[in-house]
Amino acid sequence: MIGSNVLEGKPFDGVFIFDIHAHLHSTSDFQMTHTSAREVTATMDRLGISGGCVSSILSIHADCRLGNRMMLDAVDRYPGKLRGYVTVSPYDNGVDLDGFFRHPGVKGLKVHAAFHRSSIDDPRYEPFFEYADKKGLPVLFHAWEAADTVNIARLAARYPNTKLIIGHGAMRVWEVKREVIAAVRKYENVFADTTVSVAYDGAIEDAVRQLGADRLCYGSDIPFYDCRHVVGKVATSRLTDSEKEKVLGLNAKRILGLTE
Amino acid sequence: MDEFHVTNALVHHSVAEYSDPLLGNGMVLSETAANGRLLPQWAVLPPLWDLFPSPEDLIGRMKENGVKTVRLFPAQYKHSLKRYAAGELLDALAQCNIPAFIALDQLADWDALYELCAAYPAGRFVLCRPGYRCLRSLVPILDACDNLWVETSDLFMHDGFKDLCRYQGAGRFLFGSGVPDASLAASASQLLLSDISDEEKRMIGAENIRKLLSEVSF
Repeated sequence: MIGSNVLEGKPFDGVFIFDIHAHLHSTSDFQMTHTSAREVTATMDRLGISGGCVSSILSIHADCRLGNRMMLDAVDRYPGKLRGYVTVSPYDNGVDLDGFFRHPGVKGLKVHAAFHRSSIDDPRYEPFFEYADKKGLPVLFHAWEAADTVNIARLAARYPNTKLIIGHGAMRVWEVKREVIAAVRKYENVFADTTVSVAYDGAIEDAVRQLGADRLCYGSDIPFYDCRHVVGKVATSRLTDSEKEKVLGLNAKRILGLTE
Repeated sequence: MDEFHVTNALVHHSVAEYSDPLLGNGMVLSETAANGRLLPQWAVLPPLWDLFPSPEDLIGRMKENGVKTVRLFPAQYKHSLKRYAAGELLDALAQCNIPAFIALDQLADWDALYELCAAYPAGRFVLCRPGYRCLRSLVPILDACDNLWVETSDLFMHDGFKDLCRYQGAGRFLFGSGVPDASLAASASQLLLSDISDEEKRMIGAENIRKLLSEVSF
């Protein structure tokens, strides 16, 4: 049974686990710990997590281009373990997306409008969404407020070939969850992830019941905080093993097109 | 609790937190009476006329009902923890080694936590829900105040338990979940999957709080 290892403190074994929402590096906001690609992948290895798709926190804070270069360097150094999101900024329309996506480890775009002091409906993001739609790429959004999800739902209608992932969306307060449920139910190209530091008891089961097991993906936000509590919460939930397999990794595999 | 082999839990009543401490404290007693695994925790306020009992009366009732810990809600109930207002209460708790739990969101800021621990050096304080963004504030206070313990329900820094045990020692951390507002599965997984020794897990999981409870003397 998936999750039975947790009580013994042992790594996961025999289940594909992939973190669809991970990061590297640090922010000034608070003291983060063990933020390098080496340290993040060491935790994944220790826990039996197959890999994760990362963006650099530098790319959403201090320097978007530098952060994207550092993401690419990490993906190069940990092939088969780390995949990457290219962070797009409303202030930089010169990013060489074709160049990034020639790399087989680069899988999608990351939008963190809040840290970029903008909003998801900022028209300067539109060229990026058009690019993603043309290429059928996933876009991972930081979506903390209900209005973020409302905007993502509008994008889902305009860009039906993209796969839009509502980061942090699945298990939060009702005013957010209400919009996430509406968006996921209405648009087949909208998904949500499990990334949140604290959620009420039973939130995973609720999310699967409301969204369907095919539409929720394990994401941890590591190293903003640890992944142990999130992966443990999913693995030891009252979901069936089949549902857990989808949430822990199979959905990410499909959405990100993981083959290697 | 059964799923994660949690033997006991300190519980306070939501009525005591959000509406009326005395009513809620009575309710937690009646609702835990039939289950010896749930240990009642009382919400307490500074004494006020005949509206909230004197510390002597309060501690007498605690002894009578086997209540060994209290919880402070200064933000929720809008009262001061400074000596002029809460000194009589906190000194009395300290005299009995009764641990006083307080969540970070009940304090104005981290300095208020330091001031609380420093103002009542004989008191025993347990910080609840410190969050994962706490290191730059928490570590200096732990270093400065040996009368502070930390509950772990959202202490989710990456490899946090490993670092905390290495640099601060395991003796100041008490396993907590926040259930049902938060997930017991999450907090238990965080501890169980951490790269610390079994002995450190036992200390955080049970032995540290057992020791604190054993030192309460009415």
